Amino acid sequence: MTHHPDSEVLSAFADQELSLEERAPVAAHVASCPPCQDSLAGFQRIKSLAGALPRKTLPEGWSPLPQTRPIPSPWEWLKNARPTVWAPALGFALLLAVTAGWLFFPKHPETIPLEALLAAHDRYLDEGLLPPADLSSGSFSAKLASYEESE
Amino acid sequence: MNGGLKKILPIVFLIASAGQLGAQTPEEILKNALESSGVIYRGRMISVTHSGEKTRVSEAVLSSGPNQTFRKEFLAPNGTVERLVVSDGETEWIYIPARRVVWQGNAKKTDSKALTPEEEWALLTKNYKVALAGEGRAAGQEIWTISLSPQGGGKTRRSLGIAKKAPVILTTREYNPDGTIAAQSDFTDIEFPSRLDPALFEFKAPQNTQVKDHGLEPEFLSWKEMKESGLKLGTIPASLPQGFVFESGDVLTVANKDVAHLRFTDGLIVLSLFESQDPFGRARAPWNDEPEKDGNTRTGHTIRWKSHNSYYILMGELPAPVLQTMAHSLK
Repeated sequence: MTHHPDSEVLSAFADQELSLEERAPVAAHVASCPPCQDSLAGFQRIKSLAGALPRKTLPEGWSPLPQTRPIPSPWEWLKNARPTVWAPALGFALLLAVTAGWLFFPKHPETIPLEALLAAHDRYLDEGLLPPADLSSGSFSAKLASYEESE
Repeated sequence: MNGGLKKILPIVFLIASAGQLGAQTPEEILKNALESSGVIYRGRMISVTHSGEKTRVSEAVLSSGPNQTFRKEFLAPNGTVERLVVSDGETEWIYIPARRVVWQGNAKKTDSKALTPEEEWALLTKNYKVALAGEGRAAGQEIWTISLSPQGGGKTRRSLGIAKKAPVILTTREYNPDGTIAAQSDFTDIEFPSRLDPALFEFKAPQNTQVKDHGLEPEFLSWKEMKESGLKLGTIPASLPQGFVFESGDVLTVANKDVAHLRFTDGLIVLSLFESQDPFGRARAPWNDEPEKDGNTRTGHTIRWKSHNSYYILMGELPAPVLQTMAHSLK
């Protein structure tokens, strides 16, 4: 080990919590590193002082501290929360969503496709006394094709 | 050729033409062509239309048979048929091979129109001057060129090339008021056989093809019948400026909505007025009381406006300012 082990590793070394494979390189380094020897000595002194502190017995009926739980997800929170909490919250969220939708996405009435009207106009031109300027009268079928495409 | 002959020949030609024409007036030549629907022919045609800033070209093979039967094969640039229209005189089919769709509807039924052919012809000759503009050749045939010039300004002028051999229109030109061409059609070649294979005018939908009724063949309702149809309609004048008269109306159902389709004609140009309680076209486009240009038709324009909770679209092959004047008359 060429670099100094960090304080967590030294502390674990002092508490003999490292595995054999982890311990060997740390021991080899500490043996030749005065600064790390000082740090290790400091950890061992703290450990010794903590061990010398008086012990007290907990009174009867004293319940152990609850174990630390992970922060619940929003769904778990919602599942476990009381209706008086989540119902108004949900209602407010819905109201906010509806208002935002009304403001930013105003509803427009459905429109009648213009292509159908253009096709109807061209179809009627075929009924004229004179043929349209397009003698093939291709406009109606072309409009119908584009109306079909737009459907 | 000596100089004297050079001077005489044009005069001889003119006299001969006048003699030939003397048997028929321009109106008679035109009327004969319009009434001769049973001429059998087969030919190839090219049509060009200028709509706004777009130019469209189409090529078609046309076959005309007896009893108002016809076959039109509209060709794609590679020569394949991209659209086929067939009529047996009773039913018309429009087949679009690429989409495997067939639209069908009633064939053209001019006898049902509110205006008789004679009334329509009288309206045409009242609003347009019919004259012989010259002679020439088209599709290998000798033709008369008949011009129809509007009596009033602002409308399009039309010229028709009618074959001398058979009363068939071989060329058309539609001119904008400024003299530019709005649309033209020309037969590039044509033949007049004694008969064509009847199978040309029969149609059977190919397998795996969807057949639909387009429902756009018009009815010809009078104004009274339109009012009795139950649709909410505004008051429409019986006539418009520049010789247009109300011809007939119809009720369309588009996207489950009822639309009134009112038609005005001056004998040549048709104006379509659509009225509905629901808006047309683009969903978010504003609708104003003042008629304004909306878009283009084949060679004309569409005008839109809103009045008393009804939506209107007016369309026809006229310049936009002229259509706006018509729209003001309709408000």
